[in-house]
Amino acid sequence: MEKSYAQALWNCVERGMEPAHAVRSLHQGLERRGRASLWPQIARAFERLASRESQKNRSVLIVADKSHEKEARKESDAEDARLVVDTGLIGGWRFENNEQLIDASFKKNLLELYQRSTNGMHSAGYQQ
Amino acid sequence: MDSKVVQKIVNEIEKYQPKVESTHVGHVTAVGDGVVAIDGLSKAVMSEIVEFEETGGKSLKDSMETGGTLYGLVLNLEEDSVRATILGDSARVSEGMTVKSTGRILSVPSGDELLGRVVNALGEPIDGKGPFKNPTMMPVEREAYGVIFRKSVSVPLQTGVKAIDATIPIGRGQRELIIGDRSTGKTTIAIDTIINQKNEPAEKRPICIYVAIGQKESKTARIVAQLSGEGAMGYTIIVDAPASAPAALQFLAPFAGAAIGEYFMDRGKDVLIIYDDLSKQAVAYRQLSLLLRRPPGREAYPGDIFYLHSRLLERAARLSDEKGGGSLTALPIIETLDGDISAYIPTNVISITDGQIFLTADLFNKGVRPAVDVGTSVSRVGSAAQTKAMKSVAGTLRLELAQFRELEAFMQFAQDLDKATAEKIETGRRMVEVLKQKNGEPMPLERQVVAIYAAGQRFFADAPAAKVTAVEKRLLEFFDNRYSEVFKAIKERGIIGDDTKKLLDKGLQEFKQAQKELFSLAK
Repeated sequence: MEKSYAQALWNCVERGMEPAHAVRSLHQGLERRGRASLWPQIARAFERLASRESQKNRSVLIVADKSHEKEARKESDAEDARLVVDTGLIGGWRFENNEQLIDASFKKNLLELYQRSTNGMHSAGYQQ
Repeated sequence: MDSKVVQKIVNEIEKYQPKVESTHVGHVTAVGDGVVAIDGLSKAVMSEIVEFEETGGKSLKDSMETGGTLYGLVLNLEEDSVRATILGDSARVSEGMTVKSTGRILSVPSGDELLGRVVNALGEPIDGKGPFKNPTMMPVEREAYGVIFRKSVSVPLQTGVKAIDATIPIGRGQRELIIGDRSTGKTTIAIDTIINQKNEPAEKRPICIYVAIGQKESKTARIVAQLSGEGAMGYTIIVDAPASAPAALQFLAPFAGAAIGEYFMDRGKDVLIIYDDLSKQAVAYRQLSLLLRRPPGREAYPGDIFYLHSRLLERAARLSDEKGGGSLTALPIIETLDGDISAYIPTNVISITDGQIFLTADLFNKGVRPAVDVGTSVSRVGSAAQTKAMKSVAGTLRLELAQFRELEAFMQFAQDLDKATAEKIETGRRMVEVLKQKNGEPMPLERQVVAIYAAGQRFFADAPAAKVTAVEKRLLEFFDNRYSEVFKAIKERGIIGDDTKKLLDKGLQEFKQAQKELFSLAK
């Protein structure tokens, strides 16, 4: 129930309704129906929804060194992405946007090479 | 460092071509009890394999030290998230971890190189004999063959157990349930059946697959040792999902076994697969379903528990000649509680299979081994596959034994019995003795036929019931030494011809005269 109310609230705001007005209207509606006790649960559901949506639309560019930013942005075509520095990547970059991940890091390639060299075994559990 | 190793690394580096590709990803939002909730992965499909990226945020050194790749299996597609079960150690998964879609459904390796090997539910070797070199990947979930690709069961599968081959015959492609309480000899029958296949000519010998679900590792180790000792591992594959394995692997193991078996069936071979046992698989599936928040039904099992077993057992088939004529015979095992075959899972599996071998604790405790209750056991399609020789000697055996069991119960209250009834009881007692067999000693068909023929001819009537087993043993030895052509004729022709029958009668008479002392203690 709370999920549906949170989703409805989200949709209203997304369609351009002023947030404060949307919240006020929902609260009044709940009080009229005698469901005001649901309010804290709706708030939590809304928080989860907002966090999920922000994750969905998140655009992150990860580089090993800040000095690589320009080159990485150009290669990945990630002009507006939030920049994160992770020295663990060794070199190259990783770009995550809208559930898509492009990994062009040295770390990934080195790990792949390591696994191929040390493990002649087939990758069980899934089709090659 | 060994120069070979260095050379291998150099080769790998030279061959390596880095590629950059886009992957569909999601993130773990919650993890617990082997189940993860994943945000994202909105294009994931059911039964898809997903890969957990354990290396995120770790240094290269730490990343190299993580165990092999960790996979998950998508089992629930929800409105705003995906739920998957972890196919491995769930402690390796943490919140926020990136999960990659692979776009592939779960598959296991299969092929001739799996023969003699022990693998886990993902088909990975766990016997320390090294990796498979060139396996064929088979999908774990596959639709069973339809009616037009099948033909009826007509070739027998010899279990080597007299009580079964004579009264509840099993055909290749059949699904025969072995059901009974704990410690009543269910696994023993299954293992004896595997061992008995060595009596089959190599070209007709079925490939055997033993799937251990939720069993103790010590038990599986004992079975592997027994099969190795008997020389049966050469045509056997063990799929092991022990009690310590995650519920997901216990639920998947029978499907993995079926997928491995289908490889051979598709190539025209006969396969025997044993699921030991499906009660434990049902329990693992119930655990998984409850964790996935699927609505519980009767006994808290999910609504699709029937479908779980029916889609597994429907994969047993005898294929038409156009499809190669291979077969997959399934012997599922179900453990009952206090002999209750009317419980939920037993009734489900009874209704799916083509018959059941019912083992009772009562018979077991009376010393009747195998403790097969012939009255309750049935084989719905196997009689069409029974060899003519066995059919001719065991035609009325089932009925006689069932009558004996009833009379035996009645006898406890009766004061004195008429002659006909007393005779029936005495004959029944001897018949029960003839059907007794030690575990690990399956008997070839021709020997079974001779023993049951002798019993049918009231040959043991003059021997004390307690000594029937010993007399039978001596009789078979006698035939080995003096009338081995009888065994040969039955084995080769599959019938008891007039000439063989004459020799059989002659042999029985000769034995009785030569071994009078064995029959002198009667009455």
